[in-house]
Amino acid sequence: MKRILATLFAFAILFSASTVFAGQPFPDVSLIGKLSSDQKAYLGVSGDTVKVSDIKGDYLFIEAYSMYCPICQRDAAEVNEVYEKITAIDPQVRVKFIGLALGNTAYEVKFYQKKYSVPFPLFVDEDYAVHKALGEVGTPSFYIVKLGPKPETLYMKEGELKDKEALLKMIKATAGLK
Amino acid sequence: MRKTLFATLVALLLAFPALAQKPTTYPVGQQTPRDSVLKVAVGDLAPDFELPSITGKKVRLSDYRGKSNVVISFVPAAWTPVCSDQWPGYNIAQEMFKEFDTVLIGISVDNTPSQYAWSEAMNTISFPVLSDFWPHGAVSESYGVLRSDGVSERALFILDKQGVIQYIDVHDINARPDLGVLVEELAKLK
Repeated sequence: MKRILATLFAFAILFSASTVFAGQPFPDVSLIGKLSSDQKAYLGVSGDTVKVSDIKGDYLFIEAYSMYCPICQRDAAEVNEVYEKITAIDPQVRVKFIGLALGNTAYEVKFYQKKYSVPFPLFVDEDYAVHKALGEVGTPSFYIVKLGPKPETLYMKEGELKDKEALLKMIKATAGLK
Repeated sequence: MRKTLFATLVALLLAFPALAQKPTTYPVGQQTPRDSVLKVAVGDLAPDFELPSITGKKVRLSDYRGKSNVVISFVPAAWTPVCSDQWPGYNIAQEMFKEFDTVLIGISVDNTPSQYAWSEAMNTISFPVLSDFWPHGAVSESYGVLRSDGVSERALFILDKQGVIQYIDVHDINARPDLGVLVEELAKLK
């Protein structure tokens, strides 16, 4: 019995260890973008390359996506709506939003931002460095991170955004928004 | 014992969402980046072909002559990771292709039913998806992009309105070409 349990445990760890889950530190990776002055002001940063811990705010909502991912394409308008609804009830902008374009080049990020009118900053990941840091997670994946010197993952969901209202409730409850 | 069981169950619960969300593709692994020799060059008239599409109609390349530039995108195989990650991007970029008076044609050596199901799984690919299944890989072979294992390379050809090849990228089969590079090359046609 112990051997079976040990095998099961090893199997579970094998498949779960690399992915960043809720309760774990969020990788404080360098994010590369081409940010407008408004976007820099929104994130409270000065350069185009920032670390997650540089972002000013209480919480960070992250969509890890790719312009080549059909589910991300379907979800784009829904994610925009989540941003708009949270922004409308968050006058102090305690929750910041960003997109991490896993495996996408600067051109592809610009294209996606324009195509879907994405209102929040998007970051390039041409060499898949961020993708690797996140444990080669599938797209889309959604995170809520507690910002600070050591960013902490509070929520993580991999896969299609099937219940937008539940996600809104989750963000509101996490950030204490009404 | 109970603690071990509890820890195992928690770890499994953490593991399974990650497994469940992986895309339904066949893992082909790392392959030889290129495994063919081109039979055409920039400046050549592109070999003509007529192939069945997933709409049920046949598409002849020369029908575009005098009307549109053409991008031919060969991909190795349906239901594989990088290919399933390439055409959906082109699918949402078709307005951009139109701005360059360009039509996009996708070709793989899969048969039409397989291509149709794959297209549907990718939000319905709306550019022509053509089957080079029979005679197997004949069009790929005529361009010199048929690999020794019977699939085509991941290759891009840009043809001008006269059907003359202006750009060739036989890409590393393991990686997706940057859309930005393709756009830069299309801009040169104007």
